[in-house]
Amino acid sequence: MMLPIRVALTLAQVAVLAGLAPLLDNLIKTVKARLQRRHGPPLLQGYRDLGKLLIKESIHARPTSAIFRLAPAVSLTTSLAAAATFPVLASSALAAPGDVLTALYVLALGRFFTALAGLDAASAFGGLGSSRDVSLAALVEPVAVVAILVLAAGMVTPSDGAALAGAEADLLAPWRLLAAIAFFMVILAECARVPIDNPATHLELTMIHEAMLLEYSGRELGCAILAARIKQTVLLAMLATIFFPLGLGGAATATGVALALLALLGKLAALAILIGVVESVVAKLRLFRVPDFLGGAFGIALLAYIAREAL
Amino acid sequence: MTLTSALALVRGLPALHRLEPVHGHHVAPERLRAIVDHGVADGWRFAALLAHPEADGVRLDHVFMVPGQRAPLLLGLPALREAPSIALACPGASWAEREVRDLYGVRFTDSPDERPLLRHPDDYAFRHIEGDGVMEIRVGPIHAGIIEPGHFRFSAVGETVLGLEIRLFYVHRGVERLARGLTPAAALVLGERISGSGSVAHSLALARAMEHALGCPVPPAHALMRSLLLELERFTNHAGDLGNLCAGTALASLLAEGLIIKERLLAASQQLTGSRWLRNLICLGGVRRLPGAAERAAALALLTEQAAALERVADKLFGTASNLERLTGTGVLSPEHARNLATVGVVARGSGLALDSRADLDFASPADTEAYRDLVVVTDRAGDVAARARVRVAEARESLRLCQRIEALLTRADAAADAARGPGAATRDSGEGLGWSEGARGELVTWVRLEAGRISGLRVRSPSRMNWPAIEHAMPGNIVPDFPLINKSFNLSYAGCDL
Amino acid sequence: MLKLITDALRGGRATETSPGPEAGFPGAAIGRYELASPAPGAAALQAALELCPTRAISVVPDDQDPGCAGASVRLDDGRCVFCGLCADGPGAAFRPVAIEPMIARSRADLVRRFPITGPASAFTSPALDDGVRLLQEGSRLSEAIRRRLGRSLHIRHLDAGGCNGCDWELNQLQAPIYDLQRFGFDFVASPRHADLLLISGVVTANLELALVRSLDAMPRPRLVVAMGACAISGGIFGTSEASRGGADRVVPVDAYVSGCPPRPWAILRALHLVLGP
Repeated sequence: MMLPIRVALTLAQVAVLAGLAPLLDNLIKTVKARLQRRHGPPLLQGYRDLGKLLIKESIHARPTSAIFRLAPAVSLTTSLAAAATFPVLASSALAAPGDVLTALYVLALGRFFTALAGLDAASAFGGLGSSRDVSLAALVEPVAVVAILVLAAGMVTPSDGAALAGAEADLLAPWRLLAAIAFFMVILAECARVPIDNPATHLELTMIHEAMLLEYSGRELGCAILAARIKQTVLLAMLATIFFPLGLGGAATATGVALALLALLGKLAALAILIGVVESVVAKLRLFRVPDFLGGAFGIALLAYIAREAL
Repeated sequence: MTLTSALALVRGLPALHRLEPVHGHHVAPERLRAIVDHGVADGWRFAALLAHPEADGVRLDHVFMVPGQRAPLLLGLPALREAPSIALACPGASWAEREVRDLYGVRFTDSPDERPLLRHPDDYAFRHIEGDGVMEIRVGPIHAGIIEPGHFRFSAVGETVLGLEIRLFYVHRGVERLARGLTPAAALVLGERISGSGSVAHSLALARAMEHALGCPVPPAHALMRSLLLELERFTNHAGDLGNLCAGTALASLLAEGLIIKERLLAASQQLTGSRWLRNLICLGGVRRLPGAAERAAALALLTEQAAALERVADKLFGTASNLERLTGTGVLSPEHARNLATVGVVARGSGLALDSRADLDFASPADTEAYRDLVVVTDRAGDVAARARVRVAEARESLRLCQRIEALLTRADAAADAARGPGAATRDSGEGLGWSEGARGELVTWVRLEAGRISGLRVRSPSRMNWPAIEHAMPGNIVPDFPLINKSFNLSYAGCDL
Repeated sequence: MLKLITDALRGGRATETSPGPEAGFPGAAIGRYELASPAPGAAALQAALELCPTRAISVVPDDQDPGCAGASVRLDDGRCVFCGLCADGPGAAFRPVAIEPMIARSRADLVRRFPITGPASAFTSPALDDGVRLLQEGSRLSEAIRRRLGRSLHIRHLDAGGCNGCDWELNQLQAPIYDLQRFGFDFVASPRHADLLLISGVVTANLELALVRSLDAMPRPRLVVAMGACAISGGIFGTSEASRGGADRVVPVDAYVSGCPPRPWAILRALHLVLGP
């Protein structure tokens, strides 16, 4: 009795997050476009782009190996898997029985393969992108872990997603806000956003994430893009539900799920607007300042931990 | 130090009258290096290498800018097939010598660089930096953005650049050869299309060179109108460049503001001249059609409005801390490098060199002399991306003031009478001439030779030609991802350099 | 920082609506030239023939152009650089028209004919060498594919050796005034991501290989558009030892947009044309 609901809820949440991913990214573009005094792409453009890539052939540069072909599928799989590790539609133990820290490392597996693929194509930019991305990953990881551990302080199973989302107390406590800020900075770095990377750039020497995808085409490119979009949505949803579990119904009732979905949409939209605004008013950091940025994020996360323990 | 000045040294040599009133002297090949060494010590700046094939070899003239002199100085060599290289004393002459070797087959003795420039053989010997952890990053010729083609090779340790080598001339279209046989009118159509964003600068220098060659006067209103176009082009370029810097720093909202200003200025240009790039107006002896007072007033009103918008963009450009941090200390070109490489324009002025041909050289037309009487040459000593941006802002401001001043002079001059009279007429159909203009990117020198009303020789030395090698010297010590920003701060023309 | 937001919100959107086919183009730009009168003076026409720096004007006898009385003047918008020398001064044979520039799917459609009375032999007309033209590659694309590309078109620009005028106009397409993205179009960084190769500039000897390789790197289905006189015919630079001439001597081209450089509206129009039925 319990198991089918669990499975159904988990599948539904993966479908929701994956389905929303192109729209959410497009929303960021629309916000940016408005701040550039223009319309920007139609809201459904992300889906159209993916649909178009389905009919395109995939070309491979001669030196590439199987890893290059495999990487987009691996990162798509890891993004989807990560989407199932924390509750989005209901906070009861029924939903999404996952481990949030595991999710971070599952995503890291996808990143590892993307980086390998960047090297595999043997172009100058792929290599540059991979080396930058991997050094970035090393800096991001401790911040993300500490930010999540702040929430888990005093819990038996520190990284159980459902348990974290169930802890609704102190919604506006300073430690919660600080941890959320640190995690937001992590998301900017993880999802190739300004001020770390620039998703809109055509300057190949400055790219981090896109540099690794320059050699992809057709379905494989679509797969890689979708994986990145889902990863972005998953991380934002994590911020929205674990750090601010407001609106998550306790029980898996129809109304509860519907309310949770509405709350999720609202929070995701707010986060997308926030990212769009940040990208419009902040210049990208010089690459060597990125450690300072993430160092700052780590400091904020630590502060959050101290604030929680002290109170 | 030298006891006698280099100028005194050349005054003892036989005078060269070919390009009067531009002074020159005949120099024996074996004495050239000694004189140039002397001149460089005295602050001479290499400006151009003229070449003209003759029966018994190629005639070469070295053009120098001498401090305090109101006209260039020519050092003329006799026709020869082998000439001494001056590239060791004047590194800025290296590309010019390689170009003349490729185009005219002159050999340069003791040249520091024997590689071809215009042709791209498979076995081209790039410079290599070797050592632990040094890797080579090759970019181009085709780039990811909407940019002209060029090849860049970085030698880097991690992200830090040790060396950069630039290979250009992918868009070499053989302009100088194509010009042969053209009438002045057709040559100007070609000249306007050497570099699109420098259409006025190129066609103006060419027109002035042809007017010099053919003894063609320019009525005052016509001269003023051409200067108005030049300043409008400078303003448009500088406004666009300032916005484009934000593409390098990913400050999207400000990039968009820059693009809007540029679009409004292009529309104003179109209303004034019929061309968004201010083409099809400059002709031999003046302008083909003198826009009326109402048209000029409308264009000037639009310009004034956009100048206010540009001030707001500049405020935000320097007022956004994250953006300013990117510009400051990035891509520093030292004054020494700027001087030794004979850089010109915004690049030179951003590294503290106060050179501007509008202030330093004489104009052929007294109307221009009057228009530029109180020109302020803006300099900035920092030499970084921010310095070049500051120079652009101040120069745009100065261009607006000049446009207003020129408009006032045009109203005062009997423009209607000049318009009815049309452009000046040539007084002969053959001759040689040297012309220059200070475009948005800097000083441009053009030499032309006409026979029976048709071009028989052309040399164009664009500001980009002098400034490209400077980027190689501004890059070491910076990081690879800062290159696009540094490149944008120079904003050089590939087409203008490659010809 | 706040100022960036408030200024953007207060300024409102700067995007302009694309003019319809009949509306012409905003501003008084010259879109093309046409014969000033059906019976031009022989001297004026001969002067125009000699003045044209790109040999865009020619006079051909009626046996080459059936249906023309006597002879016809041919004006090739693929060669025209819009310098206006043929339309300068009173009594000139041609006159400028503020109308949209020529956009065509085939090179031949860029040539306009004006019948004139009198024999062609009265004029010295340039001999034209139009060279080999490669078959269009995108012409076989099905309607369904075109429609899909029409809603998501990723463009790779390649400057094959121009004056950078075309490049700067393309940059303006990203300006809020034109806002290329609102049509679902965008420029992309890699040929692998592209559906359409947009070529500007005459193909120089040093870039011929790069052009071929860029097209090879593009996944099918794909389209090629040549923009500006240089990429269409060689323009003012023509064919020489340094340049190969128009892009269709080297790669197949699906659409042409005339101009020197073409204005952003014209480029947008060409993109829509190539994706149309």
